[in-house]
Amino acid sequence: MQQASRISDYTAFFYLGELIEYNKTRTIFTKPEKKQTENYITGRFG
Amino acid sequence: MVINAEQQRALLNQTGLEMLTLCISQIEKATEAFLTHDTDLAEEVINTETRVNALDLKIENDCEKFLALYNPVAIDLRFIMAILKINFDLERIADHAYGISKYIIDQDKKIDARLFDVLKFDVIYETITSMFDDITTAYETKDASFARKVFKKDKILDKINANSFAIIEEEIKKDISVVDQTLLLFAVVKKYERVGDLIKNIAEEIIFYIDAEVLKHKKKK
Repeated sequence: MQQASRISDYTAFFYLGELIEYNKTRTIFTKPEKKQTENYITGRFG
Repeated sequence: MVINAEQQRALLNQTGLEMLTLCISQIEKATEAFLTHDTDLAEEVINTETRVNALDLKIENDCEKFLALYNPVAIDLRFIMAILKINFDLERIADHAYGISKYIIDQDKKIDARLFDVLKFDVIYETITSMFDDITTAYETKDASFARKVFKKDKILDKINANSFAIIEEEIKKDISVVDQTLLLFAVVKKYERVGDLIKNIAEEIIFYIDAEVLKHKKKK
């Protein structure tokens, strides 16, 4: 995940084949819109 | 024992609440001591300052550790950023309580109760207490709507502070012998106005942490 935040301009989060959220990397890692995305990137699951 | 990020965050949250409670208590005691000229209570506030400083350092230390070990993002990152700033503001609030207590120790006589009335000290105290309740509830329940209530209340303190100079000028003209008391009161009213501003800053940080909204430097709240 650190690699994604370091090298990409945009990041997509997929869960079980479904696109959950797609946005600028900075937005995904600072204020994601979806709770599921937030739970994943903060390590609450996965 | 290995503590994971979630547990560490919970511990830090708890320490933040402890710091909030302690600093509120310092201001409340300093206010009571000031109103009643209770030098013992003032000494207690002064002695408790070391505990405030120790908690301040602990929170900074824990935040540094959290950042280094867990690379927080999103809400966790906002939490660490917010708690660092909140901690700084709380330490400043406690400094004001310390300053008020020092005034009490240095002042050898009780202030005329009538002067407290003309400067609306009861309104100042009620407003600050209410603002503290709002931010404490917002912090504990993670509900930013409580934090948003403080902005209007801070304007009450600003207004009292703005009017205080003219009131004090009038009192001195009526009776020159109260000049020492009124000048002291002027300084203390300014301190409470600063405390109000610091509580407002804390509210902004709580809103940033919970809602990811930056209110700093925005004109309309």
